[in-house]
Amino acid sequence: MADEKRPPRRRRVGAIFWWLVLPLVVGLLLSTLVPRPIVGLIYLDGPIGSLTARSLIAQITYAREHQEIRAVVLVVNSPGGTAVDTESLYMELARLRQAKPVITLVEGMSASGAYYLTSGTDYVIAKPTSEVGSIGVLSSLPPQPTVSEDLVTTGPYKAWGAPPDAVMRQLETIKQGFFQAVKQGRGAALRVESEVLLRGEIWLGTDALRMGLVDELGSQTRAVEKAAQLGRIPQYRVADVRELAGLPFVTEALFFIASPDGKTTPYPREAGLYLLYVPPSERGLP
Amino acid sequence: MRLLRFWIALALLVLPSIARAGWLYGNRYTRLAPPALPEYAGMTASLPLLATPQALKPAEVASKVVVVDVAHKNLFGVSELEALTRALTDLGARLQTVQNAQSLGPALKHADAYVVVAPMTAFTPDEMWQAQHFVNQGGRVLVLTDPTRVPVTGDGLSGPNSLLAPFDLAFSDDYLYNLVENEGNYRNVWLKKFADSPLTAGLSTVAFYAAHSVNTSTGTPLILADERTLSSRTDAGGNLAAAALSADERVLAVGDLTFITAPYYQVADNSRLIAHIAEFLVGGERSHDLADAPFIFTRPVTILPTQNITLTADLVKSLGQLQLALGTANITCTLSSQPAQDSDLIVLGSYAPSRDLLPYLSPLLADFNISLESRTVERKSASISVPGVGNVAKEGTGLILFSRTEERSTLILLANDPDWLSDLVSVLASGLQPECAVQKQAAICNLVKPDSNRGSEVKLPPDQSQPGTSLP
Repeated sequence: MADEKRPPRRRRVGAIFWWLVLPLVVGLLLSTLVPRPIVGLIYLDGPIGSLTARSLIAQITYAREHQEIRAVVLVVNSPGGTAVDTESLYMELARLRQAKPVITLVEGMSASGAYYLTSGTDYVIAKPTSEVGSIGVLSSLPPQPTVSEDLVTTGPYKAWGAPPDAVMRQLETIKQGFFQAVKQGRGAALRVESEVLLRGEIWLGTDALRMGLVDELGSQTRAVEKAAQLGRIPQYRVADVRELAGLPFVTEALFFIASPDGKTTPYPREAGLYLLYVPPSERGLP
Repeated sequence: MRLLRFWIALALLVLPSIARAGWLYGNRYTRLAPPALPEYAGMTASLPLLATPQALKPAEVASKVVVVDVAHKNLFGVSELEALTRALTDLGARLQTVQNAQSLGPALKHADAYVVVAPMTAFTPDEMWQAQHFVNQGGRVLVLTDPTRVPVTGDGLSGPNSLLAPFDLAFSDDYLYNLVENEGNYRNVWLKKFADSPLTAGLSTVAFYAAHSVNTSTGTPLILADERTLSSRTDAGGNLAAAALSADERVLAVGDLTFITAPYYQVADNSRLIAHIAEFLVGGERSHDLADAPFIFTRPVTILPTQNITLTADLVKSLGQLQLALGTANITCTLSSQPAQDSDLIVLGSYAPSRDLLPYLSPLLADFNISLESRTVERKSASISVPGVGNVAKEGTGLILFSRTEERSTLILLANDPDWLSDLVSVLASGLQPECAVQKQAAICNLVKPDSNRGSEVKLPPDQSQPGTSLP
């Protein structure tokens, strides 16, 4: 009755407000509640060992399973680590890349095993003085097998693992895997001969760019932008995947023996296969 | 109408969220192909081709002596040379080790070959001279080093290079590597280029496991790397030699040790190369001169005292020392009044020669172009005259004369009396130097011991015109 008493013009304006403007304004306000996609940051800081691998695999899995994370930036500052943990991470990253783009930002260093992972991402950004490369494998050889009165085994290598020569050849097999990963990962971008690549040399970011080991020199902001671009997301927010996943911060112990003067030697503390770079400044003779 | 309004309002309420969600999440990331992973399952470690060890023709005479140096803090165990030592013993060689620098000289005197592996201390000028003399006399030298055998501190090549320098051979402070074609690791290189030499006869490929390159300007680069094998020092390749032979073909320098060790001696033609090295070591014709005394004999030795020599207790003791010394070179010696057939001879005499000494002295006198008439014995004279040397005091000195004929080698020991002769035999047993001034066929020895009063009164005659005993 009240509406009927109102003039038709006012009635029409009221109807427009209540049925069009108000729902639209509310709808627009509500639309801001739609969460922005996330460019997730996964930090690889320090040597790659079982602890860091476990933490990073959890972060990679989280990023893969959560739709709001649309792209991942792997922020690397690592000399590499054990071969098996590096390969674990490499395979997990490959699974993540099937769903989402992963790009690497090299901070201080992406050497050896860390570059194994770096090469397996969609785009690599480094700093001009980042250290990149050290493609190769490292291991200490087991001693020649001996027998003793106190220890009885059922085979000559039960106590020693393998003959020294076999370990040397295993290194070559692992190197082949590493080299293939780099070749497939970098593809046509790679502009360096295998003979140069396999020297195990470490290069500055500027040289690595010329050689095609990285795609661009730039900052973290640029890396995030590139990840968003590859993930085709116009608006995004940046978040640390470890914090999103509620994982604790872990650090890996040093792999190498410290000499009496406190310097790190290039000799592994434990026998094993390593995709690792030991900076010369820290080296000392055993 | 109201229902229509409701649906419009609902649409306006929801659409912005849908539109925004579509905008933010609509462009789905799609990968055209899954990321490629390495074919891990197909990767295998390369294994070397194993060859049957080279069979060697057994030696007819087991007489060669190969001395292995362990006196220079050498970074190896003799057992590591098993493949080489087996080849040497197959060829009839006898191996001896030199444990300290003092015994190097005596050892080289009776050796036919000298093997030095990864020495960590430099050779002294005296040792270098001994090695040079050894090579000049026809001895063979093998020097092996390995870049993996390095001292904790210092230069690992000063040892081998100090020995090799007189022969224009030197190891570079590097290692060879090949990233493209190798034997299981970049530092294990295949070597397929060989100079024409008995050492490389029949070789097609050898594998060295971290090897220094060897430089020579006058010698022969024997085993060469291909263009893609690089030196770690320059990261460049081309004409890098892993083994080289000196110009006189008596000194062989090899930049790797591992190829001799198990199991690598079985790889490719390595065992054939080891066999050739063994043949090289026993293949020299070693000659001896007086500087090699007492190891100047190659046959059993008869010791012959002449008539005016009494075998005193001291002299017998000294002869025992000499017998012991010659025994280390596998040379037996017997005391006899007559020279035995097929034996060399040591004649003991005095400055006043007895009649039975003359037949042994005569050829030497002829060698020295001295007539027998000049051999005047002046028993009271304080000196003897040695041609080319001058007067030598009789007291406190000894004279050793050496001659080699087709029939036999003869060493004549002369002193003033049996006591001095005893000392002279001792000096001979201990290798002459530094007590003796040694020339090609004669040595004059000082027999006065610093802690002895005997002979201290000995003085050379002031008057050269005083007649004396003249001897070669």
